[in-house]
Amino acid sequence: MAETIAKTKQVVLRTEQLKAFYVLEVRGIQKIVKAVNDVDLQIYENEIYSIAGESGCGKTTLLKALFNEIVPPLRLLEGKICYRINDEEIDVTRLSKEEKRRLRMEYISFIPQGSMSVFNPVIKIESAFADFIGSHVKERNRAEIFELALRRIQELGLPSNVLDVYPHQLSGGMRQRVTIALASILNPCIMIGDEPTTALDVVVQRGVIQMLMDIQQNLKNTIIMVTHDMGVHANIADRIGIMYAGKIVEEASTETIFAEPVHPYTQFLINSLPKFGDKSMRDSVPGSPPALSDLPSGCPFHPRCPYVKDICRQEMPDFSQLDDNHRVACWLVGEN
Amino acid sequence: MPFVKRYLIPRLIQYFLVIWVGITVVFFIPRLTPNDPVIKMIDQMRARGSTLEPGTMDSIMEDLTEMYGLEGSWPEQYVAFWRNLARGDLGVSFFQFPAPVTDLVSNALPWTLGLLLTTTAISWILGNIVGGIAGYYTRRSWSRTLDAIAMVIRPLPYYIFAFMLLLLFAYHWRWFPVTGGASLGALPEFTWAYIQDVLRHSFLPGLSLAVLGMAVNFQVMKLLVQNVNSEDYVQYARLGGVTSARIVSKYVIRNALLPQITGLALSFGQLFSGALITEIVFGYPGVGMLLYRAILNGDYNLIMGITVLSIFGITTAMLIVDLTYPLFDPRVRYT
Amino acid sequence: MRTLIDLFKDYRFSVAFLVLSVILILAILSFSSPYDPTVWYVVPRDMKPSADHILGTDSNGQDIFWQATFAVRNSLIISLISALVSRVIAILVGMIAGYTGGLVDRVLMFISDSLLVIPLFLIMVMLAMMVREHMNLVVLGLLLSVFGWAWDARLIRSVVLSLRERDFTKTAMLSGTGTVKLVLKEYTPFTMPLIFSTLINNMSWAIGLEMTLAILGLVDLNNPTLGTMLNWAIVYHAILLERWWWILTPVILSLFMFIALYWLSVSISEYLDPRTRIQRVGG
Repeated sequence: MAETIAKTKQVVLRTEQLKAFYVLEVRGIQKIVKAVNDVDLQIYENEIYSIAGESGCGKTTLLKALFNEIVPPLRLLEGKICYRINDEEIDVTRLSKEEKRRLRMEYISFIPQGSMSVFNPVIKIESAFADFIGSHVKERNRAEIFELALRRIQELGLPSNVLDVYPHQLSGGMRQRVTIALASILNPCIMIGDEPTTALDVVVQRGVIQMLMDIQQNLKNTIIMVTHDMGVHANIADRIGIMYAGKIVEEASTETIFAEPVHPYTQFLINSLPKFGDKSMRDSVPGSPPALSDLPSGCPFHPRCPYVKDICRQEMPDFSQLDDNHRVACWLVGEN
Repeated sequence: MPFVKRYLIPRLIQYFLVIWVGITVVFFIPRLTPNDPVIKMIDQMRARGSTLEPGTMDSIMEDLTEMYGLEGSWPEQYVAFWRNLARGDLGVSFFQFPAPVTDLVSNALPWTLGLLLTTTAISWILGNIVGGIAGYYTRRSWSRTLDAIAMVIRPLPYYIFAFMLLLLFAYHWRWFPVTGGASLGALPEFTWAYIQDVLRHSFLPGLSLAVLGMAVNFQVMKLLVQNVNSEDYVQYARLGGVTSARIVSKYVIRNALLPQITGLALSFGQLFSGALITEIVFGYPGVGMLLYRAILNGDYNLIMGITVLSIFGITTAMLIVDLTYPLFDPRVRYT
Repeated sequence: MRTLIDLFKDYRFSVAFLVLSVILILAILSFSSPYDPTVWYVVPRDMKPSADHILGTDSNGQDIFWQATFAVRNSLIISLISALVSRVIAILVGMIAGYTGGLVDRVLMFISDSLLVIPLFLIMVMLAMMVREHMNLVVLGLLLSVFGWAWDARLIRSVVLSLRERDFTKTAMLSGTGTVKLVLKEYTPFTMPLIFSTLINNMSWAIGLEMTLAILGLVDLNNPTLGTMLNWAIVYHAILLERWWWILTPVILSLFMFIALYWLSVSISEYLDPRTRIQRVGG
């Protein structure tokens, strides 16, 4: 059971009161976008944790922050991000540029969205692999790197000639699979995926999901990903975090989220999914998500919440731990 | 081969078309303007003090008309023009009669080519490298200082900048000679002394062309790099922890250079004109000075000849650069 | 108004604005000049700058300061004519090519590209030699305008191409807006910034080319422009005779003009480009 195993698992990435805002200045007027607004997370080893939420809720920024890529106009206002490296907890926001760089690929790697053109268009895939690997593992020469790349490509079921072509010669789905292969190649403890299945057709999506799961099972590492597709969450995630307006509002194992959602927003998300045999009308969440630069007071969901109370308008609820694995931030639960 | 069809053939067609259009324009200019060049020539000859017998006037006009290629109807002239061109005959210069235009130009051309090729190479390579690194590190103070310098130099036309250098370094501080390609009376030979002499004379014109070229390349490359910096593949390389040095050279500059290669081809016309103008300022014995003397003397044939040759030269240079572009951009090679 | 205030925050715009205002004042001053610029020997020749003649006098017997006011005025007029006429051509060509597409587009772009490739300087020399007697400010301006539109036509064409695919175009077409009205009215706000900054660039180019042609003696040397002033100075060996006040006046005036025009166009186009507008990033 996911719940009991969680107790004995190590925390591999942890954030504490994380606040990361975009500070923009447009012709003298400052605008602050609260993309990650006081987030506390604990991600364990050997699990797949996925984050769900609408567009504009700050998911991608959270991922960037977890990956420790906080560059202007994004600023870290408060909080810590800690990785567990060699049994030691390190606050990575304090690391030097070079130390941060060394962690990448070997400890933590990033899988970008499939729609992006992520490969240098003027060099072959093999050369890109050599750049990524060679920037971290100095001892290996070019031939060994090529061997390593080829082996991993073949292990994951991709055609071997994929290394010998230019990026524009690959289809979108193939490119995405190649980036996943590259992300896993130095066996990192954590892999972070930003909508890895979006912008792909359904058949390719299936392949990508399978690939991610195979890698995770082989390496027994952690995958943190973000997607708005609840079907993907159901397929791949061990635990799900529901994100709204820069905050995590509910977090539980996949089964719990789908079977017993507690937060009204989660309930809307789950209820909007079609079910077999049920032909009734689906309700979506009324209204639209708030602008992160102009958040409502108190709980950010209160303008759209059917159960809103006075206190919801005034104060942001803390987390209530419903279970070993299930926590939710809502005044419906908190006050009791 | 799709490449040949989609890239090579259209490009070649364009090449020949542009040459044809350009030379046709050169053909028509003297014939469309309100002045009769023959009459003008006679007026000029008179103004220089030669007196003409009434009888000889007619035969002179006949000869001039023939030399100008103005015999017969326009279509006849046009065909004759191209026939001569195919034979490599650009006519003879009027004021350095009977020197053929091609001879005069081929004497002056090595000087111009020497100046042009070295300064273009230096300004393109250096300007792009420095501009590229400056574009990557836009916030550093050296990057901003260089940009400020370029802001002042770039808008200056070739003549003004060359003239300022002349005033400063040749007249005010007499570091460099005021005019010429080599000292008066020096014979061209492969001795170190002669080479030194030439270098001393070509330093200022070369500096003028190189600095102006670098200012432009610096700013353009800086902008290109700033754009490339925000491309997905650069972000991804950073996320993958690729070393800065590798990103700058292989991901950023490599890609930013592509439009610069095309830009180089497009700028050949301007670079050539700039070289001519700079030569005039410094009295440098290249095609520019040849042109200047032709203008002063009203030597129309020489000017036309220079223009025709320039059209050939510039379009051919553009073609060569354009044809090497696929070597650098695989997206054009394999489609 | 608000845009102006924002523009002034860029030091390049402020400096350029200041310099160009001074130059404009100089040009306007020419109307109150006590001397006729086309007449020779009105004042003692070759005098150094003094209280009577702020910038001295030249070898033609003209007061250099007042000569310069005319020079500035005429150079500005020439460049304005060139820039405005070539804008019109560029807009027409760019919009027609961009919107119509097909064969018309290819022909127009071929003409435009050929103009970019052919050594314009030489063609200008040939043309100028031919029309030398009829050369006046307007003719020169028109001559320059014939060659100054090619690059900008291409830029406008790209803008029109991208606008053509946008939804509002299809909406306008479906609601029956005529083509000409559509292109002129709807697209103009998008192309205006481009037109404006290229106008300034073209003015700078025109002044530079005019000066170059003048020094080669290919313009009407009796009409004072910055180029002709420089030409006369060189012809009279002002450098060798160390008459700096004569040589430097047109050089420095033109320097200021080129740099100011460039800074103006760069600051305006950076202001209009949404990517560079979001500047400081709360660093």
